[in-house]
Amino acid sequence: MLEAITSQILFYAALAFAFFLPGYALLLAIFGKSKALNALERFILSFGLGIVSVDFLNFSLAGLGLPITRLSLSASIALLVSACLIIHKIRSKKAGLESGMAEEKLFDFSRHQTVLIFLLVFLTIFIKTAYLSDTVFPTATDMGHHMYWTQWMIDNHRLPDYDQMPDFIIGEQIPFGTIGLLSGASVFSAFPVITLLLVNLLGILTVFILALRIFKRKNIAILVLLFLGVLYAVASPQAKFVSGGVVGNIMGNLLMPLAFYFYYRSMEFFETGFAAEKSSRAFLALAIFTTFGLFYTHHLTAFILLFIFAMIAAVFFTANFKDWKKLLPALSRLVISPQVLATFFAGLVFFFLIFTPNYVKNSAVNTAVGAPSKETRVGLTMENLRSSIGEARIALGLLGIIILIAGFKKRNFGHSIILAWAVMIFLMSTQPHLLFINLPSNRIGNYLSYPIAILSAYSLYALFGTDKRSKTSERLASSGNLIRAGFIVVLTFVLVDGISDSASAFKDKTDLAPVAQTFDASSYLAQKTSSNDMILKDHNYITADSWMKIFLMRGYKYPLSRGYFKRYEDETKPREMCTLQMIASPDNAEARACFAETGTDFIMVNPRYDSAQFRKLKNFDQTYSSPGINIYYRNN
Amino acid sequence: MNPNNNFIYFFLALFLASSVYLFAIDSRYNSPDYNTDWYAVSFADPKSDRLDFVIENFSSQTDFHWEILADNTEKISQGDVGIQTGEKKELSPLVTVSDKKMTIRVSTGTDTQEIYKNMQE
Repeated sequence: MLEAITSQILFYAALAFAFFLPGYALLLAIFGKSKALNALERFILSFGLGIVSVDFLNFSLAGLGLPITRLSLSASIALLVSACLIIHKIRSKKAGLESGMAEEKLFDFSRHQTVLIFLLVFLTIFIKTAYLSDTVFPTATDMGHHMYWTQWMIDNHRLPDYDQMPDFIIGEQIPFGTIGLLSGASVFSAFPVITLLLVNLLGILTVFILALRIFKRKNIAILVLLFLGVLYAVASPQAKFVSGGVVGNIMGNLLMPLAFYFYYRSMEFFETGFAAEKSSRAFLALAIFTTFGLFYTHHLTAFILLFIFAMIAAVFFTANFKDWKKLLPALSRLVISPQVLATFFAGLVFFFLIFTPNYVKNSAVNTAVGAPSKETRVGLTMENLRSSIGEARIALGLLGIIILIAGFKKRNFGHSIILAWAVMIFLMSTQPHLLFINLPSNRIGNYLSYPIAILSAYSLYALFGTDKRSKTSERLASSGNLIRAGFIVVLTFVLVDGISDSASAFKDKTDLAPVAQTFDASSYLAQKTSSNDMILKDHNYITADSWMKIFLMRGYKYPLSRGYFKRYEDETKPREMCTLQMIASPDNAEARACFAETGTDFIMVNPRYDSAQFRKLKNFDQTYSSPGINIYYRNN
Repeated sequence: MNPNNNFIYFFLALFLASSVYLFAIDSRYNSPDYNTDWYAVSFADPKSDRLDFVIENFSSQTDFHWEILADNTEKISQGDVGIQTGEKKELSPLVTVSDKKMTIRVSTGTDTQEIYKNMQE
């Protein structure tokens, strides 16, 4: 009991020390205690900035050839925080930094709004926790793969090279590896899911402050919490992705809004003129810093971000075409500044000289661009979008696009961001051939719910809200029964659709015996075999089989795995057939050749589906038996 | 006090409560309280001719019967063993290994598990 409490305290301390503290110190060094950022914003932004900071600290340690240990990580984080505090101390002595900004009223919520925010946050966390309570166990395939590399980082005290595979990106493992090293928490505990839950929650809060800043309407931001936090709280890419270990998407949906937030703040001055404020360049530098962090974390999100950037630029410059003579000099004054250029070039140096992600080395972009090569890549239908994003949300979101265009504020860079964010992902996921994108459309479509949630909030507010926050109820009361009835009908439709979506995603009570049986058999094989042996296991009928490699730690592709049957039939991606043959027909000529070629001598299968073919062969012994797992040893 | 600070404390308290709860249930797959319906039988040395075997008990049953069969028909040894839930026991039967298929059959209640080694050349 005491050990469990100590372990949890260490975990929370590691989270605060590694993620919140560096980000908070960075903001303090840059902005001091100025009113450019509200306390709530500092808290929310600190987390994402902390994750990116720790990424770069890990790259620095790797670049210097230092082992990544609890000591080196703690020292480097402490060094960064100390440096930031010293800078803050020096800068705070100079007049102007602390008092130059106007008092921020945007975050002064009324009592009713405060109660509503608290309620929505409570419901968001409650629904997600309830779902995760049945799915927190180490069973998800993706999470198993990620935790293998996390364990590799913890064991080897250096950053993984992923055996040169482009599918893994370093930023997906560093946060888990850092927490694992600092706290000593096991990858088999709930810490990966809880860490990912925190990333997910902070991503939602980042969208909350982004919407608040862009629209400057508290009720829109509160509605964002409803549409993104409470409604569809379980469906992809929310709690389901947290329990499933879809790390890249969850982290991407934190870092992308975070980057948008900083880009927006850097361009906020356009709403009042063409003279950048003191903080604009600092915000742009942070935006670039976050963008590099995103490129180190997830290639798909980064790829999508590039397309969104292109559309943001197109929308903003087209809308402000008449003012280009004032716009371009203002932009160049913003960009050509020491802090912006230094951040940009430092990022480039890290990216190309100190630690280059595998997907760049392996030209993954070439496989992402081109004509769609599979049926799953030709685009989602409206029916697909309706089921993945939610009927109410997609309806209000698409309406929100129209309303945003109708009331478009050309000088508000945030309007360009929101419009481009939604429209570009919509096009990428529904019409990929127009943009020459060759990626699974549903994976891109999973990113649409974030901008659509903002637009849903915006459209609901535009339809029924008022600019005078305290008179909402009065307006509804005085606008007649028709509007009031309309509001109630729409709200009921939204709530029922959003909550029922979550309710249908709850699982029946998880049967934990299959997980325990897989882990027990994996532990047996780890003890009884060596790296001279080759193990083949089945992925179709064994629960949590991807976690088996963490027991063995003999390489990412060890043990061999019989994948999903449909993959052996995919004509667009021919693959080896040995893993299929050696289990399905272990005595035929092809399988015998496979055994000789791969050296496979242990096979782990589910006895309910794969047992009879081994029992009749004299060259196989059954060395382990439990209700869910049989292990066979090839004895000659 | 700044109301935004109250929100931060509220969020942290909720996250703390949520994560403590998730930590509390995450190891249930290892707990006898939630996982009590199975046991495993395995050879202590899967690669040799030895027939030493291990019973790991995750079930509520504690009395096990084992027997060794040659070619699945000839019973050459048997015995009973008590193993508490959550424990395991290695057994080393004194039998002469013949040039046959040697099967270890373990049963408790109505459930039976088998492992075997083919000793034929």
